[in-house]
Amino acid sequence: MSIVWRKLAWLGVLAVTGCAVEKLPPTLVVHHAAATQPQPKRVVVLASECAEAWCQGAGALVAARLAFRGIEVVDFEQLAAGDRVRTVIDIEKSSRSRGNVDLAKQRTVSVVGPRLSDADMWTQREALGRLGIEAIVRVRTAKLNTWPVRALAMIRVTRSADAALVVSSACEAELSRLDSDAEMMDRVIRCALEGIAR
Amino acid sequence: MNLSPSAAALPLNAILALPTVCKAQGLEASRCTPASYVNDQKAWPMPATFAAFIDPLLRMKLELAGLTLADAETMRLETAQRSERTTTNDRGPVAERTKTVELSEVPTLLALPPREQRAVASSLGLQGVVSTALHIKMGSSGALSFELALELRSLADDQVVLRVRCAERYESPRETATILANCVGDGVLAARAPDALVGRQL
Repeated sequence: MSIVWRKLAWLGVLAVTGCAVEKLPPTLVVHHAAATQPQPKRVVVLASECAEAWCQGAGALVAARLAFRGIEVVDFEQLAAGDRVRTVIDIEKSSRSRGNVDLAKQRTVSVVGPRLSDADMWTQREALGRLGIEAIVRVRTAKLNTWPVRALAMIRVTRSADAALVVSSACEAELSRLDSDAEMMDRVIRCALEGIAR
Repeated sequence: MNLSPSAAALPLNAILALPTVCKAQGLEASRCTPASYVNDQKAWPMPATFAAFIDPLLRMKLELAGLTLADAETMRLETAQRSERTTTNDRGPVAERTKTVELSEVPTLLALPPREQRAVASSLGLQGVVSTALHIKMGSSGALSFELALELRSLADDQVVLRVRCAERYESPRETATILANCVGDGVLAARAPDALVGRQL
């Protein structure tokens, strides 16, 4: 019994020391274009190309924050790239059992057709000008599986006309193994957003 | 880390980024699949290629270095067809809703031969193309060795503008790949924007 308790105590010590390793504070690097350049008022946030679940909401988080600051965010996922056909099928079934009437309804809505986010690159490029989109916002995230774990997020705003930099903000943070992936992403994205706000 | 040519001011701004390709030198081709390095794939799920570990980090560092990237694998040559279906089942006080979205597979810029890729990139106003290759080989000590090489070329004259190479002894698929991506990314930063080197060096 005492061996078991000793092992548990060692595990406890390991856990406490592991979590207590001092982490570096987040490092933020911000680059601004010349102050004379006007700030974009209408932007598009590119969908973050991320295969893992932990970083898939990064673009939406940044888009929400930019919209809160009064920047108009155009969502290519919400705009049609051509004709879209909508079909609605309603089915109602009623049945009677022991004097009671059971009514079941089913509605199936099918929409077929591309959104702007599904369009080819030339159509998307043409849409930037047609919709008056002044800048493109790109969000990138990455995780470095070292000890301690590091998470990185970068928000980069470039002019849609010539790809010139408006602002870029990158944040790198060391994290505890006890942090969940969602907490990790949230922390570095918020850190990178602070750089955009300046 | 090897850098060449000199870390002079590089004129490129917007460039085409190709995904990392893997080459197993003197080893079976399956060595280019991260899953081949783990026994229990359920406990340690792995992506299909090493590019999933390398490209997010490397591209972030390239953009931090001042380059604007167009990711080749996201540039569709044709518009994809989308089909959305929402079904609502209403049975008394309970309503259930299910939604499915199907998107057709369409070719991207990667489907084109290199020459046509460069022509399309030029037509879009891009000035360069960056490619990375992961080489896996058996080191002299008998241990696996991973090497990541980046090449940045100008589209105007197809000349190499920057070449960065890092090598590491194999530790684990995820760790070795991300360490190499970080190293090569830092090499680009050292050449183009040394003030933007962030974080503690590995």
